[in-house]
Order: sequence, then C-alpha cells, then structure tokens
Amino acid sequence: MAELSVIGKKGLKDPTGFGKTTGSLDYAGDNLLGKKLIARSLLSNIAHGKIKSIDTSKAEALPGVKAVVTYKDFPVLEVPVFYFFLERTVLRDTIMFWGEEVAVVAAVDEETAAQAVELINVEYTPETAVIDADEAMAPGAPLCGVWPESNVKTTEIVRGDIEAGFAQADVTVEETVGWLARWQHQEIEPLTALAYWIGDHLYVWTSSQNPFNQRANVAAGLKIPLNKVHLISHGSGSGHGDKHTCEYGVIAAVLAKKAGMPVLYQKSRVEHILNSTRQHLAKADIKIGVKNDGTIVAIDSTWYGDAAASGQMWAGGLSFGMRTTWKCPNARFKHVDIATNTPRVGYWRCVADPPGSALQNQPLDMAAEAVGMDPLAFRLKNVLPPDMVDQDSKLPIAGQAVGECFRKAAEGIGWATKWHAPGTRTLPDGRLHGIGIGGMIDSHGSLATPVGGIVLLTRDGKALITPGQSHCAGSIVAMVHIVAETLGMSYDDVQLGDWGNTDVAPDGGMEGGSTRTITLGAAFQMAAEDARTQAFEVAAAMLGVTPDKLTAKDGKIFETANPANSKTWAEVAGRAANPIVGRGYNWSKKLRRPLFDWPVGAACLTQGGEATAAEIAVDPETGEIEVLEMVNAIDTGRAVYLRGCEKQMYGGLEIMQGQALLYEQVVEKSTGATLNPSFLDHRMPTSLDIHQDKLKLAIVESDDAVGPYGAHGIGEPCVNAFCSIGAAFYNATGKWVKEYPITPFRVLKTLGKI
Amino acid sequence: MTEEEKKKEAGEISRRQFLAGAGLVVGGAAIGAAITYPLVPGKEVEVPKYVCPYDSLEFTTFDALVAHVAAVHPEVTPPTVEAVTTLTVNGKVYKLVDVKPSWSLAWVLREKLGLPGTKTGCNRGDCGTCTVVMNGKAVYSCLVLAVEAEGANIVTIEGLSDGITLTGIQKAMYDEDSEQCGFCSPGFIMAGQALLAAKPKPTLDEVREALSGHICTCGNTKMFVDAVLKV
Repeated sequence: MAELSVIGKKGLKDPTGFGKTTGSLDYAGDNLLGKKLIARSLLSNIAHGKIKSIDTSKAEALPGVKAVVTYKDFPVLEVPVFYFFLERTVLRDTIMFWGEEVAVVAAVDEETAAQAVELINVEYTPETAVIDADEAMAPGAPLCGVWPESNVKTTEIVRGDIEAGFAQADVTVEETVGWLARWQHQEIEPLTALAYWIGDHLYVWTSSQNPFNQRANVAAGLKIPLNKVHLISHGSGSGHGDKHTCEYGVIAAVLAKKAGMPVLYQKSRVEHILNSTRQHLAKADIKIGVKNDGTIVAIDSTWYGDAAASGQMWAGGLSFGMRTTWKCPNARFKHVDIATNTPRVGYWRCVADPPGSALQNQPLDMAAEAVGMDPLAFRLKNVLPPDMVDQDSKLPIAGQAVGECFRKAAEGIGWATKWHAPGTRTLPDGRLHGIGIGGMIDSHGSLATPVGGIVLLTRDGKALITPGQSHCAGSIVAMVHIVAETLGMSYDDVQLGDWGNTDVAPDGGMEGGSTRTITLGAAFQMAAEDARTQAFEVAAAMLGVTPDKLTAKDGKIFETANPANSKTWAEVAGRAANPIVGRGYNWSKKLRRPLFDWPVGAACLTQGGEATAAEIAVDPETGEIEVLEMVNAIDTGRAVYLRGCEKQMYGGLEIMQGQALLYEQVVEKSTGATLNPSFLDHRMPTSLDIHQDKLKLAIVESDDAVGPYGAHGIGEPCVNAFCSIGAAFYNATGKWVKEYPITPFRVLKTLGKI
Repeated sequence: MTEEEKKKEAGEISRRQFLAGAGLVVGGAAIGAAITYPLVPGKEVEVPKYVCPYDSLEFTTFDALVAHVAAVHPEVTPPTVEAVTTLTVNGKVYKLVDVKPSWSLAWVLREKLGLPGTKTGCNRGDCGTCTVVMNGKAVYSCLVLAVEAEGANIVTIEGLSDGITLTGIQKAMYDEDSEQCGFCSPGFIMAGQALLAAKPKPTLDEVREALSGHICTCGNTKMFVDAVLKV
C-alpha cells in the first residue's frame, strides 16, 4: 500500500477529546439543565397478555406530575419503508414479555415520577407465556403470539452433496453446543431522548448510533413530516446496537406536548435493560466430516436462535462464520428461529457473529483433534484464501485476510511454544494452563443505506465538516482523516462542526454493522474530491495551467510537474468567487481496483475478519478463570484512524472477557422475569478483572478494494472471537464447557467437582 | 512573588480566601482535604449564589431570591432562611433553597447547579460514572444526598481545569487520545485524581484497585489505568 500523509498516521487525536476529557462534550441529558421534566415508566409484571384496564388518575393527581401516557396516546404506526424500525413501536395494549413498558410519567424530578408510577393501576388479561426456547419449539407448544401460526420458522442453505461429502470423510465429529447466554444491553449511557416543542416543530436530543433513522422513527411515531423533527446527537455514551431506533423519543415528545415542557426520558438501568434489545440465546448441532490430512469435506448443521418477543430472525446469521470461513464443497446449514415471551433481541455488537463464532469453534477443534492436528494448523489448512470467491454467492470478497489474522494472533500469544496437548500443563500454583484460538470471516463492513457528506471550505483555506452522525466510538474521527488526506491538508486544518444534527447534514447512516468508516467515509472522500475539483478550477487560473495538471498536498495546490508553481489553500479559497461546497455519497459495492483475477467494477462483498488467541489459568478448586494474556488480530483493511482502531481493539479484548466469563441475563422460567437487571448482577469486567498490561494487538492491514483508502470496518470484528477463551479452557482441562459464560459454577460442574 | 501569589501559581487557594468566600459554610470541614481547591491557577472563589428552586435563576443575596420567588412564582410560599442548603463545589459556594431531602448530589450538581460534567450511568451505585471527590475521597454522587454534602468540599470534573489548560489525568488522557465514547471518563478521572492526591506515584495494582468501582462499556479500562500511571 502506498504511504499516505494523514491516514493511518500515529499521534492524530480525536478532535472531540478535549470535550470528553473535561466533561464538556454534551450528551443528550446534559441539555436544558434545570428546565426539564423527568420520565419514569411502569413495566409489566406479566410476560404475555392484554391490558384490560388502566387507571392513571391517582398518578396524575400527585403534585409534581405533569403528564402521563399509555397506549391510548399513540397511533397505530405505519413503518417507514426507507428506514428500519426494529421493534414493535411505542406503547401498546398487548404485553409480549415481562418488563414491557406500559405507561410513562413525566414529573418534576425522578422521585416524584417513580412515586407516580406506583400509583398507576393496571389490570391484565394474562395469556400463556412461553419462556423456554426448547419448550417453545416442542410439538404442541402453546403459541407465544409473536407469529400467528407457530413459534418456529426455519430456513436452509445447502451447497454440494452432503451424503457424498460425508462418504469421503475419514473421520466425522458431531457435537451440540449451547445454549449460549443472553447478554443484556448495558451501554453506560442508557437510552435517552430529551424532547420539547416550538409550535408544531419538535426538537429532540438523543443518544444515538443513527440520528437520521431516529428522526424517521420519531416523525413516523408522531405522524409529522421529517422536516419538523430536529434531532441532535453530539455525544453518545456507548452504542452497541440498540441506539438506532427511537420509540422512547416518541414517548418523550408526546409527554412534552401534554406537559408543555421539555421532557427527558433517560431510561433507568432497569427500564433500559428490559426495553432495549439483547444478544439472543444461541445453540447449534454441528457435524463435520474430515479427511485424515485435515481437509474438511462436509458440514451438516442446525442453528437455533431465540427470536424472543421481537420475532427477529438471526439464526441464519449464526452460521455465517462457518459458512464463509472454511472451504467446504458440501454443506448444509439449517436455521431455526424460535419466538418466545422474553425480552426483545436485536443488535449487540452484531447479533449473530459472536455466538456463531463460539458455536462453530468447539466442533472445529474437535475435528482437528480427531485427525491429530493442532487447532491452528487445522484452521490454516481450511481457511478460505483471499483470492477465492465466497462459496455461496460466488462473489469476490474485496480484501480479506482472516488467515493472516490467525497467524498474527498465534504469533502474538506464542502459540508455537505455549500450545500443548489438552490437560497436560499445570502451573506452579496448581492452576491449569491453557491456550486457545478462534476467529472467522466476519459478516460486517458492508456498504449500506444512502448516506452523504458535505465538505465546506472556509475563506481562510481550511475545511469544516458536519457528519450526520453522533460521536459513539470514533468513526467520526475517520471522516476528518479522509477529508484531510483527500484535500492534501494538514489534519488540524479539517475541523468538525455541529455534527450529529439532522438539520445541517445529509443522512450519515448508522454507526453499526461496522459500516460507518467505509460507507460514510466513501461519501466524505467523494465530497472532498468534489471540493478539491472546485478549488482546482480556481487555482488553475491563478497558476496558469489546466485543472488536470494540479495536485493538492501538504497544504498547497501545485502544478504536478512543477511543484514550485504553487498556491496555498488560503490563497485559493480567498480567490474563489463562490463558496466551495463539496458533496459526496457512498459508492456501490464494486471493486475499485483490480484484485487477483477480478476486474475493476466487479460486484463483490465487503467483509472483515478476525482471530483472537487467549492464554488462561483455571483454578480447579474455585472454578475461577484468569485470562493471563490475550491477542486481538483484526483485519482493519487500511487503518484510517489508527488510534481509534487500537482503542476499539483493546476494548474488544476487555468485552470478550465479559462475553466469555460474565455476561448472562437470567430469565426465570416460571414467570419470564429478568432476575438480574443491573450492572451489579449482570457484571461487566472492571479494572481488577483485566490485566491491562497483557492485552496485545495485531493490526492486519489488508487493502480493501472497495472501502475508502482501502479501509474495513472493525467495530464488530473486534469483539467476535471470545470463544478463544473457551478453547483455552479445553486446552487447560481436557473438557469442553458447552455453555457460556464460563462461570465458576460451570467450571466446577464440568470438572465433576459439584 | 508573595506567598499568596506562589500559592495561586501552584493552583492552591489560601485559607483566608476560602473562608472569605465560604460564607456560612463551616470552613474547617473543607480545609485539609486531600485535594485542595481550586486546581486551576488564579481561580478565585466567587460570591455565594442563591438558586431559585423553580427556575434555577441565581441571585447574590437571599433577599433578592425571596423577592424573585414572590414576584415570579406567586403560587408557592417564599423560602425561609432555614431552608437554605449550602454546597461548596469547585470552590464556589452555592446557596440552594428547598432542596428536597431525597435529591441526590448528582441530581443537584447537574440540574440545579448546571454542572453536567458529572454523568449518571445507573443512578444506583453500580457503575461509578457519577464519581466526584468529596473531602478528598472519591464518592458516587448518586448515592450521596445533597443535604448530606453540606459543609463538604466537593470537586467535580469541571473543577479540574479552567477549560483551556489540562493537567494531571486529563492531560495524560488527552495527549494519548485515550477515550472512546467518553461518557464514563469524568468518573474514572475523578477516582484517579483522588488516588493521585493521596498517593502521587501509585503502582499498577493500586491504580487497578482505585478504578475498580467503575464500568466502561466500551472496554476502555486499560486506557484509564495507563493514563493514571502516566501522570
């Protein structure tokens, strides 16, 4: 890859860093201090049924209460087809899971609102609740009400000849893994909307991964035009998948209208956990046929996903890694989605890739062991090479380096010297030592949704951008890099303006699906090129050459053949007769440069890849697991905002320890009640759980043939391969834990101690 | 340079200045705290502010507040002097009227004093986001009642800088570009600052311990630990 001036350079900082460090970057709830009402909600205490009656009169009479809303305040919604509206919307008279919002109160402070919630009297007509996923798919199970005819939907993907494939196999392994746990959505800033009206115009501040989709949701929920909803999101306290939609913004808006005052609906921790989405339960039956030399010749598999009360079908996503990553001519992937009366599922740093990665990992390791190979060698033998098309769509992948990720992760952890036969190494303190690896081609990083970017040149020859996105993780910083690189300006000469404001930017798309850097980045590359073209017109006249003879670099525009013939950006911008405004859009998913035998313009896929290696110690007496060292190897494509990549990857290493060892939402089978809706009981890793000095990164820079400057998205790939910890557990103990998280209880049970 | 100027230069405030500004506050409780206030060179204690509980307007005298309430909010009974709660935050002394006994310090800092740097992630003592330093100790301001905080010396994230110059952990974090979403940063930074005030050169394990009451859902704890060690 060619050396660039700004992109991928060390030491370039997030321009919003000062605001974050000083607490002065504004998050939604930081606005209208002292001038807003606070909303709290009543949550259902049944898991399935209908509201028979609801009496809010006592709550409304409580001093300090300014408004109360129930399902009666919301119209039946039409889903805007051009945006996604993930969930059932706003409040309704049907209860589909325990803890569903039933009514919301706005009052002068939180205590008053909470007190008023207690005064609301609801009578339900309960119906049979179907909580357990296994029971929901059993023949004759009562209907949970999500789908009209059945609790189950199935799909299937087949390639080749399964029977013939298994007939060629020397060894066949078969295993069921799961259920893997539900993970609660625990972003540090809960779902938040602050709403107020001026006439029939609505102003909303939100915590957002997707301001334009949120605006569409709010407008649809209120049946008002998009240009009367003014939605702003500057800072967002984490966004792992449930901040794309905005039902709560509709609720805040209706409360604000009723009360005639601004209303902050920042969900309490319990409200947030129960009424956002979560990572779903997942399970798989997997059969793999292998030749003695380690070649995979057949896969037959069934993947189960809990679609929960939202009826979202992600089982097809569970098999993605297995389908895509391993060369296998004969394969079947059956997908079973199961609806239940449990809290809604949805995006959680993807939906299906992290559990899918874990479900496939154990059978792969078993297959390797069955033919006497170590897990790394087995993977390297079967991994899809970068020059091979995707096996089902037959499309090229625009730069994929998962094999290299496996090599780098192994190198980083010291695989060659540390790996041993399962259950054969005890540390001096009596704990069992293990090492494991996992990874796959990732389903993320597609170019999605129509997005646009605008680059404004200022009169003093600098650039200002206002991306239509909030600041969640840092992809907004990648926009600054891309614009500075394209204009040949210094990094500091490109600044962020009022970003995340739907009034001043084109749609910025979603900060999700690991798409933002490539999708919006493409738009900003094109916008910067457009601005540069306009500037070249002006500069050409000044320099006495035609525009096609010019280059922009190092803060100057100059004649390519004679760099001494140059003008600064300030001189050019100052001379422009009209303001220079560059516009750009994301481009289509086609190769932008030749790749292997594939020509420019060929339709293709854009996907990432990752591998993680973990070294752990298992205490056979207490069941505790300590992660001694961990390596995250991510195919970043060209790393645009280098420090941002590092932060996300370090973050991934911490989050993966949570996924593997801690996260589990416990739902009581008899009632459907969530028993641990808090940070305390659904624990997150803290500074004491993590060995901060033992986290290692390997940035694998494949050169994507579609993404701007060769970039991939990495948001999801960097939390995918937590299964390396499970593999390390097997290496330590010689036994598989088939359920995650690997808690001390499960460890002791697996070791036969309890 | 006089002793007074030197102290100003060092970002400290004299006992006399503090007491002069503190008014009704019992000065002794605030002096001698591990973190001296202000941390910003040259920052003076300002006159007390009486804050209207109904519209958050600020007044320099209690009488002015009473007159304002009588004129603008005739529906409520004007406050009495017994109903005044005095909070000392970042060296400023605030006089608040009709602070409800149930209000948390976090709520009052944000919504009544207009200091939104203190974020609330859970409002129930699980996440550490709302951490402020009170009499030198890191506390969860969602678990401290505002009325309990009377007489204490409270420092929030807004008190660590003048909005232009960064020092300590803030500088270390900014220099290294250490944050992701930034929502939990103020809490981590205040906890780290309290540790550094008590122990200027902590070990890795001491830093891990001091920050262990905090959750970062972006998985950024490494960055916070590194920043505290770098100061």
